[in-house]
Amino acid sequence: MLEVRGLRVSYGGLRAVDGVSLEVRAGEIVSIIGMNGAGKTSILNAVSGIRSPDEGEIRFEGESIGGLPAHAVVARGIVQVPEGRLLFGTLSVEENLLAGAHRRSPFVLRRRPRADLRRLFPALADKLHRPAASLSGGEAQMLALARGLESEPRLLLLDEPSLGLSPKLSEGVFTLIRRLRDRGLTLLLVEQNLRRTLALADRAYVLESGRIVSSGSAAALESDHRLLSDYLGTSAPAAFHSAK
Amino acid sequence: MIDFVQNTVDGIMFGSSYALLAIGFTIVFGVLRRINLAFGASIMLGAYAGTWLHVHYQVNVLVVALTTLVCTVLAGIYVERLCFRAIRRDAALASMVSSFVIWMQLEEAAVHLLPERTYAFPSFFVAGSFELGPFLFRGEQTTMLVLAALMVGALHLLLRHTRFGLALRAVSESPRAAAYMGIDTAWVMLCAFALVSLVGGVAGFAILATDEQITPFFGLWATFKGLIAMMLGGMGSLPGAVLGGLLLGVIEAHAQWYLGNEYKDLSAYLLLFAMLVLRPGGILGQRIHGREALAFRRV
Ligand SMILES: Nc1ncnc2c1ncn2[C@@H]1O[C@H](COP(=O)(O)OP(=O)(O)OP(=O)(O)O)[C@@H](O)[C@H]1O
Ligand SMILES: [Mg+2]
Repeated sequence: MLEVRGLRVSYGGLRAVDGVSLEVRAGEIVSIIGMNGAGKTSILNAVSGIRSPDEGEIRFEGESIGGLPAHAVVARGIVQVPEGRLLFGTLSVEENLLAGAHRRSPFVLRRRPRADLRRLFPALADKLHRPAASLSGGEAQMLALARGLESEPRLLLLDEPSLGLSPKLSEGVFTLIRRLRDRGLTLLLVEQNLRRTLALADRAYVLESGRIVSSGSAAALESDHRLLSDYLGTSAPAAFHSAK
Repeated sequence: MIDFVQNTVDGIMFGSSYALLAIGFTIVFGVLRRINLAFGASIMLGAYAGTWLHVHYQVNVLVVALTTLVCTVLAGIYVERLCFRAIRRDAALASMVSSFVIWMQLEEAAVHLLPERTYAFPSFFVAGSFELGPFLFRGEQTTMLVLAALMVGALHLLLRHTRFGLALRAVSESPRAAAYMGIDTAWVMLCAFALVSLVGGVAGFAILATDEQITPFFGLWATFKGLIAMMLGGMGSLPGAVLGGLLLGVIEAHAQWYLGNEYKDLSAYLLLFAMLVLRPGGILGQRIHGREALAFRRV
């Protein structure tokens, strides 16, 4: 579904992504794992058109989308839920959702009942008219996800959705990700939390300093002791998570 | 007492056009975090184009109005392309200075079109007036108020209930987040310029048709009044712009009545100064304080 070949992204002289190739097949949850500054966000931003790549090819369903502006990429069915959520704080929850649905909205906005929202995001359904800035961290992440889904993407890019959430709340996010996949969505998930991510993903790529150093099925990576000790220190998952 | 109320009424009526000018500044500030110094000049160029047709071909006042609007919008788009699109988003000072340069350029263009000092501007409004109790309502000012109220109402509906309005508010809040949501931020910014130019064109036409004349100082005048009204109300706030415009109109009307004509403009500057000292965020500035702080950090 998504194919990235030889991707290079740099900021000024600094090369953040250095020849990354990866693939996401329809119906999969694929994860990119790496430490702070490894280049995870830069890869997602290149795919979603927020930053145009220096080099490399990005194809979505066979069509080249590298260098397209972000709104054109969203129109093709890829949406990114950005790191740090980036909600529209002064707009209401409902307006945030409407903004997410921008590409398929009619000129005059229609506020409709949201039965679907109640099912997937019960916490939000009663807060439609509250400003997004007033939500708790967990609710805000739910809104970021719900807003992204409003454009009806076929591929969802998630950038550290569990960042800053308690273990219980991140469990909720991971459960939701699983439900989305079961509904037929394909996901590319960026995470730092190694253990949880490998439990969720079908396949994963391990990124270090802009290069992929390891990849494979989640199960294979999980049993890869060299990976755990080399990149993550000995008491791996905990240390990795608290590195943030 | 009757004088006081009458002055207040007059002030509100004229202030309604200040409110429209302030809206022009505030929407651009909201979307781009920049002050578009060329705003007054683009209205002036539009109005000069209308006046030119009027002077040379004696066209109907409606044609003058339409020409003013269309040319103001074109000038606004030109300004956006030249000083806001072409200059990177983080180069705030550069785009502000360049909007100053474009101001000069647009004024030059207008003066080349019509080199004399003053030209008659056609009057559109009913010249008569009517009385309500002891108070006098002048026809042209009443029309101005009605026109401004209609514009503000339409803008409110546009911003709250349409796809474009929501996109504009989303871009004002965070251009980056808007881009992630698939909103074409560059297009929204261009449309915002066209929109405020339309509002500014209506304001400019209403003011000039009331004055029945146009001079090369109109651009400067419109920029000053709009900026002061926006600063009074609070930068980036739409209700603030309306309130600031009305307040400016009322203060000027009172100053003119009680202190004399020469104090009219002075009172506006003093008011702005007092506001900047006492409440730098403007009347409704509190709510957007964080945003504004951010804006000033960027400038
Ligand atoms: N806008 C930018 N300007 C300059 N350098 C940047 C910018 N964004 C990222 N970088 C640099 O590029 C490298 C990769 O950054 P990136 O944000 O892609 O990493 P990441 O893996 O997402 O990290 P994190 O886990 O902290 O989010 C880092 O060294 C970072 O400092
Ligand atoms: Mg990141």
